[in-house]
Amino acid sequence: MKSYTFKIKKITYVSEYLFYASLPALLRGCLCVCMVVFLISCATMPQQTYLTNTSLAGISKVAVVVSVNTPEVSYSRESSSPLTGPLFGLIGLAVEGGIRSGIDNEHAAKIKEHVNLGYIEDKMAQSFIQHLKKGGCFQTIEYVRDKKQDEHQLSVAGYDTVIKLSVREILLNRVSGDTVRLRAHVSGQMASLKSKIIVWDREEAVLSSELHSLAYYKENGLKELDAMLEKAGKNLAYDFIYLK
Amino acid sequence: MKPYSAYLFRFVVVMAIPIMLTGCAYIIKSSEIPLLQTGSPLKGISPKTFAFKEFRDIRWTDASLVGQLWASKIRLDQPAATVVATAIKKELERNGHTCLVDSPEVKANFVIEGIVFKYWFAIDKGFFSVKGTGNVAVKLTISAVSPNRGVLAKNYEGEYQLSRGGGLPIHIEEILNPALLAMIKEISTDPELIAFIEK
Repeated sequence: MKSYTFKIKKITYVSEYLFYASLPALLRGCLCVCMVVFLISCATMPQQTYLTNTSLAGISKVAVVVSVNTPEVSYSRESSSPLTGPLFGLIGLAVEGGIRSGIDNEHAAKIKEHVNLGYIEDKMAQSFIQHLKKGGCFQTIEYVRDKKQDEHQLSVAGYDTVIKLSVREILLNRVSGDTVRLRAHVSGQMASLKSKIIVWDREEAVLSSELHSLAYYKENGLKELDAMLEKAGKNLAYDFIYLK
Repeated sequence: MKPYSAYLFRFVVVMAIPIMLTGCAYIIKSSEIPLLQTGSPLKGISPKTFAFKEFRDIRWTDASLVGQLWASKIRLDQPAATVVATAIKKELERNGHTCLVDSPEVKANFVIEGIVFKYWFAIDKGFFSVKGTGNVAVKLTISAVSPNRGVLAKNYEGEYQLSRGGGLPIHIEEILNPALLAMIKEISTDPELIAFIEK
């Protein structure tokens, strides 16, 4: 005669009672991934690194390097139909998203015809360096146009530190109806060429105070960008001029 | 013996449940709004004294409400006008100036009045992503106490946008607090305001 042994499991955790005993492994794994994602999402935003009174000690020769990403447009993507999902499901949404993204890329291509990325780099560097020079922050500060120079080469050339400015995002996004707003997202980072320690890491977002139609920008280019980059460069330079 | 993943799962569940229950607070704590840490030309001006009049809020009748998510009303723990005035005071004090409450006995260089006309957020939920926008705006009127030095009246606005994909949630503080700080930075770096205070 067969004998059955029933093991009574001692439940020590509420979570075990709720989930462990009853759920199949795959579902449990999915739940686990979702919860980890949830926990990660609760984490704080990436911290910026600010200068202190001692950050600039021993720095006299500074190289400034600038990079810029091409302008983007988020116009059609922000007007997706609320019916696509319920009617055509995930595939429908993906197809619609692809089409709208393609339309935005066409808008962006038109605008790029008016945009000179080299000019934007120069403008950003000029604005930043001009304010730093006015503030008398460093003995020598030079704009290095040759992006092929790596940190070792800059160090050999006698620089103590390199400041990397990046116009990470130039974006036209829809505000309401036909109007769009121009935004620029600039980041700045300073690292010692000897110790490689990052002593300054900042982000600066600038918005155009004017709203125009997308057609206006396609015809005239990004007219307000000059003033916005000037403002971003000045605000970043203030960190050096008015140390905390 | 249970597999390692079972212990990991149990740990994650135990950690996640309290956060799920308490993480999405409906009251935004204004004490947790950080100070700006960026350089400001306000620091380059000789110390001044500012007398603050009570700020007004012309958004709507409910002074602490900043928006609604589904059925939940999201509020600040203080009236929005108080939060904005406090943030401006903190920025001036951070840069070496003195801030007082305006009264006939107070001797100040400038009197500041403010009208808050934006302090809200919007969440756009897409199928794959979510976009949050925070907006804070104030009209400041700064009057020089010395005669013939004039009045500066100007609007300042801060906006902050955050997009997330993959179903990750956006916490309201993540968009509203940076929007407030963006507005404070507009004030703190405004050449017109600096020139007005400096002259």
